[in-house]
Amino acid sequence: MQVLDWIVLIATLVLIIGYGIWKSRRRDSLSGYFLDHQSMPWYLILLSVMGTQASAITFLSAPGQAYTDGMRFVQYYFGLPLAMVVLCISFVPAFRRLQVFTAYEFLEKRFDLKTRALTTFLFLLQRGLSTGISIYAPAIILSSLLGWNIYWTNIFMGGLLIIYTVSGGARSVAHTQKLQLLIIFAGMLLAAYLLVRRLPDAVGFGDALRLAGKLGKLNAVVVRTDWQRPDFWQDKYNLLSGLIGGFFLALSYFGTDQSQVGRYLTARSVKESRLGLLMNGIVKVPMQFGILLIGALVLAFYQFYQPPLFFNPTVVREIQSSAYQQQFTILQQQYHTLFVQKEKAAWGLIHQWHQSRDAADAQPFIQLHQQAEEMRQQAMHLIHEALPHADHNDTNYIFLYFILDELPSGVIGLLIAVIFLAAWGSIAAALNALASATVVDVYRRALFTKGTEQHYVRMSKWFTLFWGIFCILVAQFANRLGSLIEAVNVLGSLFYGTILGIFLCAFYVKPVRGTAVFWSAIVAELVVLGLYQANKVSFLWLNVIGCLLVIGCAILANALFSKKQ
Amino acid sequence: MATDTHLTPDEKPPLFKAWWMWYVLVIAWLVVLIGLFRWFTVSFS
Repeated sequence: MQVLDWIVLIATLVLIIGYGIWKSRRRDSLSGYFLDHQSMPWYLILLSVMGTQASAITFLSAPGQAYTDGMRFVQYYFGLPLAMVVLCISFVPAFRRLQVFTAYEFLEKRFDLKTRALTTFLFLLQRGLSTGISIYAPAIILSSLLGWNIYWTNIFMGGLLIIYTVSGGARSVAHTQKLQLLIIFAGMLLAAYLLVRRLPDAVGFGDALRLAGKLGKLNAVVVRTDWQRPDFWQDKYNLLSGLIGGFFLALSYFGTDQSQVGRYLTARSVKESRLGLLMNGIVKVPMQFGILLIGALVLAFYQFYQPPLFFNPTVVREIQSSAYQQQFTILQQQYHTLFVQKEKAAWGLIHQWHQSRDAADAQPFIQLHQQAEEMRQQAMHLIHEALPHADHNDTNYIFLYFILDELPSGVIGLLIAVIFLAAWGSIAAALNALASATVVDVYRRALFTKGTEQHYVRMSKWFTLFWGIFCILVAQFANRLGSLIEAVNVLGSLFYGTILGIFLCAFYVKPVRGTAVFWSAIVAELVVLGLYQANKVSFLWLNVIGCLLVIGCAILANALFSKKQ
Repeated sequence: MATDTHLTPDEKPPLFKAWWMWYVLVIAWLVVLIGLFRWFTVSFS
């Protein structure tokens, strides 16, 4: 990074922190601190909901995911618009009618205290852990950029955003997210434009798409009907798993995760909440498609410029100073030789397409790419063998490597700032939500019931700080989780299904009582954890299984309890 | 789907008469996107 990049980066971050502090007016009640007195219009709700979901992981890991695995990850978002509709019909009016601070408060009104306590516990556990990963994601950037120690980088990364999150509560979170998203979109559009501009002169946008398509990376919709085969249920991303599994995951996330519920509860009316959520259902899928498309274009770009064998430069430096140095260097040389052949084949294809598209035979190019991929796999195995504690998956580094290596000065600083801002948006919302659940559902409900509003606001600030420190500690252990965007979603899927099952019982299964739901949730959670451990189904299906188990068991248990009585 | 005649003016949807029309719009948009993405996948594979 050059001086100009540092200036852009620091100026952007200071702007956000300053803006966040400026927006933190005096908050002397819990309603002001956590709900901004329910005063926000729909477009702020939309930006806040989007800013909360789109973390740094979204912008770092998703292009890498498209580079290695193709665009099929977009199907994971297909269930989201459907979930928005269900939220608008059932969840939003119910939460607003009861004037709750948190989603879990609603559960005590509907069931009992123990069900509220269990759900709050599951949320705090899941959200605390996944926010730690959200801190770690941008921290690896600083770490590999500056050669800083990752542990200190995590502390630096998590510490800055706490300043305005503690002082301003929900209002600061929403207003900084608005500014953050504007900068993020501008940065990503600029990156996409420069990426296409950096392609060789004879290679157009359409040619780059065709190349990526030939390599199977533009697989945005994968239709599978062979559900009889066991591997169907282990297949992570296809149309069915995206629609059904994605629907349950999105419904759980937006309907029961306080980091999202807390955003649309700040709306000035049911109408504003609904509009914000429905607009999210309209823009989210195309946005994710665009981010993944950047990853596919980066792959096309590296058909004409030599990519590294492994995209994490820190790990490469480590293996080059280990006993495996010679083996790794040989692999690098072979990879380079293969690249020269592959580049030639790519140019051959482009020329044929320019003459007559149908006559082109892409098979030699595809085979060479497969060989190159196998070579990358060998390198990863070697790294795993040589450095057992290092991250041998470089998915998260691909886009970052491209930015640093190929984009001009100034733009690098802006894009690094984009990654920071994306992280801060989601982490700030999560800390605000963790604090609200701790204060409203635990502290004020069970530990200290007779405090003043000022006392609870003061405690909310302390708990925001506490969760910030907790998440930084979690981040210190997040370096062995592979693709971070997947790690966050897998972690969510372990708990979301159960939590969603509890809420769906509350909304749609009227006769069911608290005790039946409580024990069903415990059984469902144990089954989900067991299934995950046995690795029998893809993580998206865990949401469906957990949810249906809670509902099924609760109906059964309720019937049994009723008979006994 | 029920109509939204019971809603207060503050809760009535913009552009359409009832909220269910918004829901249909969002679902229809999803169907269109899936169709376009499928076409995109097949054309470039």
